[in-house]
Amino acid sequence: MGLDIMTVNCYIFVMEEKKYTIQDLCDLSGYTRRTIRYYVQEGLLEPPAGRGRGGFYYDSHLKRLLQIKALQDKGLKLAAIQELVKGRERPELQPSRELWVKYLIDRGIEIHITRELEEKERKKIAEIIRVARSIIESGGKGHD
Amino acid sequence: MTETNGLVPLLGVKVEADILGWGARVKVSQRFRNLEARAIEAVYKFPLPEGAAICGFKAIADGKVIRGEVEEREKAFEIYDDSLARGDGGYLLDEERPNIFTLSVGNLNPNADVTVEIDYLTLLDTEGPKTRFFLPTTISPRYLPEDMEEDDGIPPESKLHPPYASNVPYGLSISLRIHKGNLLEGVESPSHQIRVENMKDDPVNVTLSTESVKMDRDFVLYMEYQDAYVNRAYRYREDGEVFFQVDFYPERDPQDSLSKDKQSLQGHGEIVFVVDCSGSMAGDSIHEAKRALEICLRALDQGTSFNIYRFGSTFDRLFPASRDYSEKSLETALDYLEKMDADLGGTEILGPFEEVYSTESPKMKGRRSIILITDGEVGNEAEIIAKAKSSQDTSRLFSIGIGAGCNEYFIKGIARAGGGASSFIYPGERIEPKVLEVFGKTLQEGLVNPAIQWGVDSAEQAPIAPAIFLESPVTIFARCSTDQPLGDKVIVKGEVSGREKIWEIDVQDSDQPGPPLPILWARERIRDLEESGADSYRSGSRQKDRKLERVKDTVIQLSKRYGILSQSTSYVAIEERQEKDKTTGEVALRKIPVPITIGWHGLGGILGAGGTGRFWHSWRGWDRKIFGYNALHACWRCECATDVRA
Repeated sequence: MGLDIMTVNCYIFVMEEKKYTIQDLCDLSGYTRRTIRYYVQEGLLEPPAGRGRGGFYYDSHLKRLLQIKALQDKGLKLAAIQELVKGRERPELQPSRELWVKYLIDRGIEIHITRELEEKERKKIAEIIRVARSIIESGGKGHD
Repeated sequence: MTETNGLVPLLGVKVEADILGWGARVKVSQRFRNLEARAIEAVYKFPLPEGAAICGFKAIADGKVIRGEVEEREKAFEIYDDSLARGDGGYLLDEERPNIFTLSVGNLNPNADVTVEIDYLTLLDTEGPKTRFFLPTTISPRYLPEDMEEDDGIPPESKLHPPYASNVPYGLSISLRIHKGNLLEGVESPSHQIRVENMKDDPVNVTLSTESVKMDRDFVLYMEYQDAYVNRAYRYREDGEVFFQVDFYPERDPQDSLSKDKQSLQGHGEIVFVVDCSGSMAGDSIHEAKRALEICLRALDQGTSFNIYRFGSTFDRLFPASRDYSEKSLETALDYLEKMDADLGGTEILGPFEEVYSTESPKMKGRRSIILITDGEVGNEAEIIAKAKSSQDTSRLFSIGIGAGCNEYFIKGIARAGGGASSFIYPGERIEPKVLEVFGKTLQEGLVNPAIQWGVDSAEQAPIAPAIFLESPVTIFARCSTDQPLGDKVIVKGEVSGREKIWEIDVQDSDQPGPPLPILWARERIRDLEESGADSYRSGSRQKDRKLERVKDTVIQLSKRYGILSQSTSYVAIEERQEKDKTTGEVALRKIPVPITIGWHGLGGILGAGGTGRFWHSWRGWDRKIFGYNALHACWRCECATDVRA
């Protein structure tokens, strides 16, 4: 089934995003596990992906932790950081120039892909786009 | 404050204790049940006495007993966290302050019923002829200065404060067994209505007169024994080590010391009163603080110089510098006292202390005495305690704790660090004897340069430098290895009124079945270490950081070895579950709400509700036995501090 192929392909793509356990996150950020759990509890950090405490964390989690740490090093208290981080959803976004490629799948459906992808990943995306288009073309049934 | 939705997973708290002389073995049981349809993690913050040696932790789940182990604090958290991730049961007890603890009960499945038991040993305080059993039940909100550092990125309020609720569905029950009741003269509680059974028997049973009470005020019980204080020394051997305990009570030498010692300071000293006028003192507390100050002022003598500071967010003082006591200066002081109220906002204690410490004392003889009157509701205890410690050479610090839920750790800790003594006044209790006992200590130099010879080399004494006052009992411990020849005497030396005094105390071998001596020694030693770390509580230099690390390592080692909790370790217990019982999916966090302390910030009050007034029926005359200066001319019947000679 075409849908399955698409799901599998997307899954492979997601799987390859770097995953961290909570212990990895501790080692990389310098925070204790207690502190990381506390930040999740307080909404400063997104909960891990997957079920409950055993879930995984991604680069976005690590980035957020390092951002909190940088603000703490500047002398900011957690309450102030919380306001900063929650107030502007993505305060880490710096004005920058990025190139994105837009693929039209069908009318009203687009897939946007950053240009900063590795060759291997780009090939996978191309496959996803191809599969997506064929699903649409076949009226949602997909093809082998 | 929040209203609770009735689904609070804490069902109740039960405290049982065996009291023998100046010591107690206490068991606190907290029963949890998950009343929700989903799995939860319950987190409960609660107080224990600051001197408690917490030596046992277990969870009882479905009849299964899971015993806890002491682990380094963060490692314990990881063990707990892993168990929750696996779907097992986890139980974690953290020490946030010596008197504030956090219990986490994880992966409590729907309908699960778990009882957590915490055991501790503690020495009891003595006040005059009375022994005081104290059980805190509330954590009053602490004032946290703006610049207080966060600990590993967690703000102090999250570590110290539970959520507060005006009403909670759980309560406290208390059952005490006082041993050797034949030596007991009286039992009384200024805090609760109690029922006493089998008086003069062994044991005497003391319970609350109602089954369960609201946990909004600390429990206090006084016992008076026939046994007068005597010097005693015990020795206990265990695992290649010998432990000593000395109960030391230096009497005044009737021939010279009372008059001479009094002369040495009275009439020449400087006393600075520092009064907490922060918002938390509103209501009963400020009223009691003012009465305590008035009693002291009227007890001052000609020739003493004094000053008064009041503080909150800001502070001011009565005189620019301490002034000699006279009728005129007393009058000015009473005017200043009259205008005092709990209207100065926050609790910035350091400000007035820094000013007092930087001011040269007009009287060079002896050290200045500072009497701090406060509820102690601050969260930066270590910083203030460090300040008092570093100024101990020039100023002694005494503290009087006010209220139904004051911060015992801060009030005792600052007096320990400042080489002074502390006392606690419960709302409605007779103030005068307590205030005068503390005031009396400011007038004596106590035992100067005390030194204890344990009869062996390299004994590790704890506390290492206790302040010893005449006619005030103190307990000191020591540890050494057994391969040394042991003496049969402990010798205490020191100077009283400029003359060397020696006490020789015979050592008895203790054959008690339990091992309280090693545990009590370790508790004192850990406290010494933790409070010595307070010297450099704020890391700044590498040298200080290294010192802190070394201190922490030693604390962890002692804590694990003797199985008692410290600020650097936690108790953790893991309940491994069968696959079918494992928790799956999201677990909701439930912080247990607690009632706010009665009288805190003027919220409700005990005095307004009639007070207890029970005291002077049974303890009448106590103050007369101890004190001999002019405050006793004040009216002691109604505590109005009027000079009855007038």
